[in-house]
Amino acid sequence: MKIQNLTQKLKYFLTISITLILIGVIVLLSAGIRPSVELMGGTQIEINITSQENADKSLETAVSELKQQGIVVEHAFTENKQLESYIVVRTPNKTVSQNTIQSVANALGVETSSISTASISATVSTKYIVMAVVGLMLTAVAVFIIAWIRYGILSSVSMLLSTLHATLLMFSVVIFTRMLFTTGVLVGIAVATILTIVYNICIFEKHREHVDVVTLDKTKTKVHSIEQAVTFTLPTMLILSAVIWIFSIVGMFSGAIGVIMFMLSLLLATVISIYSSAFFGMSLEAKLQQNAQQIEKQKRSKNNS
Amino acid sequence: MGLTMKKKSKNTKKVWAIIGFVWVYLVIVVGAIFAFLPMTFGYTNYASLAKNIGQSVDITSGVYAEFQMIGSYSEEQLNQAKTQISEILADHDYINSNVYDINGKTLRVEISAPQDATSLSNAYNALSYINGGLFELKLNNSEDEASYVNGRDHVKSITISSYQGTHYVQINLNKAGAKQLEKLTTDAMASSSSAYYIFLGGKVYPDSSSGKVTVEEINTTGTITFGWTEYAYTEQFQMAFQFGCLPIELDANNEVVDVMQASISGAELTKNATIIALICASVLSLLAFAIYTLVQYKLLGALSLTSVMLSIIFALLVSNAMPWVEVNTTYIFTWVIGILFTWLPMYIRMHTAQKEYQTGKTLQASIENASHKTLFTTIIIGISLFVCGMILAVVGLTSMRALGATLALFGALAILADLVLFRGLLRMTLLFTENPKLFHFTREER
Repeated sequence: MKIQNLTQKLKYFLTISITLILIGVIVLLSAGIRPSVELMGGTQIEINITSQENADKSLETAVSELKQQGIVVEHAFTENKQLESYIVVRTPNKTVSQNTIQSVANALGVETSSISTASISATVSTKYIVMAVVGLMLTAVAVFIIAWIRYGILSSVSMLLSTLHATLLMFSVVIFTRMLFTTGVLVGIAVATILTIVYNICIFEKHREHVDVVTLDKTKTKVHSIEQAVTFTLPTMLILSAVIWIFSIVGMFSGAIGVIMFMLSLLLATVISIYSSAFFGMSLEAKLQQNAQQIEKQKRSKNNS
Repeated sequence: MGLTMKKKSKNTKKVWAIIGFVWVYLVIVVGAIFAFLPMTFGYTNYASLAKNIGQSVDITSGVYAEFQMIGSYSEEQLNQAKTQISEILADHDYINSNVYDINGKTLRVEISAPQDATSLSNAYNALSYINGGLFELKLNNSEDEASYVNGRDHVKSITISSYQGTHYVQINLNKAGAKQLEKLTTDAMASSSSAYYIFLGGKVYPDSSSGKVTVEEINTTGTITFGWTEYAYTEQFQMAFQFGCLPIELDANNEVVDVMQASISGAELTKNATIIALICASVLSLLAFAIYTLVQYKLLGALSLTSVMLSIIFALLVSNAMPWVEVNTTYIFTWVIGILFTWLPMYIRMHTAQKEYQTGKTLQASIENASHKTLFTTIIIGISLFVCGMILAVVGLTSMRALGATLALFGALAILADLVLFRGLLRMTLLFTENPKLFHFTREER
């Protein structure tokens, strides 16, 4: 696949990105995020199963019944409490209706008095989220400095913008697709950021290698070198993504909702990082380089006249 | 004569190369055995490097404790208490604990503990310190006497240090605490008393007179130091003192500590579904990547995979020394992506070498040129990953910290694997063959 006319495509990429981010903002303002129980708390359901013969089977029945009743089961496990055995289910749902409790009791063949519900707080402190965001921002700044030293100010700006673009786009897509916002999804956002940085470095290094050769040819510009670098690096990105896709798709078979959300966020991260680095970031870089070259040309012609 | 000398020197190099290959593959085989196979040496059980890394409560069984809170607290106080408990547990190797409140009345803490007697007993002990009660320092052993220093208002941090076989717990106080400490020493001098009493939960700590805590040193600038000869004992005191600084009070006589089974979520799934799916995902994705590398780059691919394998063994060794790493869902993926990042610079070099060969260069020249061209790519990728990883490891918490630490490790390994291992192996291989077909290098002949 040959990448061409990156500068002309910038307006399309900008339109796509702004639209997706705006949708995310609108959904965020109107419906908010869909946080998991670990981030915002929810309800804990405890079912006394001391009388049941097979704890694992009871657990399966309870989880299946709760899902049928529209309850999002985030964690479910068995535990002992003194001499009794319990099933513990955690859900981000703030309330669990009496009908649901009744149907679970019927499915398990226990009294409704054996089932209790209680509201629970988040297991992950807001400090975790704040520190994760601070970490990502500091990472972006560190990359900006490294890129400035190695590739110059223009490239470092486009690299920083494409990195921030990847982070922001991931947040938006997670919000408007109504994905459950778990710590795994937060890690997925960090993965998108890091992948974008690595892909950017690969492209910029190739661009540095090509730029002198390409610009020797008077008919070609730095933009051609960028396009060549993207064409060269794209298969590498796709291979890395393919491996991550295999991991994510197989991982989804775990059935655990937290794991599924993490795997979905990884799938998203691979797509968004390629889009942010190779398409959005590089079309921005191409446009910036083109403008810089034009300004330089104008300066030269002024000096000559 | 010159030709014979050259031939002799090449033969010597070949012998050294063979020794090098034998050594590398021996390291891989022995390393893999120690990395993944549990063994028994006499009375000692060795669990393997991979198994030695702790597992998080989301993929293994654990122990939970529920404590009744005395009094009611604001959300801020509760959040502070929960964060403090998580951080103290993380300090003592329980990285990804779950701490939350139920109905604002009960505090629940969950930590991972594989179902062996030692792990369970350690986990029970760790949880039993949580409701030990407020830490106080007094001049006499009367419960009614007011304390000079208390954990809630005066303590900044509690650290452990060791010097000449003795281990010390140092309590560092804030400004108000330092002032109180000054008052304590002045009062002690006035009453010519040299005994200080530690209280936890309103009682002299510890109960037995044989285990009495002696204050090693009081520095009026704001530190109190206690000393012991046994490290495990020192750690227990540190934990007890740390939990003695919680902003909330937990009922010491009303607690439940018991076992919980691993978390599951699907109706048709077994207890180990999550871990099985994650292992399958890792193995299948890495296998697909290895097959692609071998098919696409043949001998070069095999050499890059050898470097990756050496890096994995090295990474496992280092991970065992990282105290803040615990295996959970995201950590398993971090390894997959870390391995991919280690391989990435080698892939770029192989890809560049193939392109160079297509321009008409010899095999040797293509590989040399590719090495030269991709040198900085490797260094920049490695450095950037290392820097980003270190930032996340220092700033982030729990799974973000593990992601950062592993990324930083693999960033360093990416440089080592490409510039030292892959380069060395490639040089040794080129002594034996320069057949482009073995490297899957093709071009249209003119």
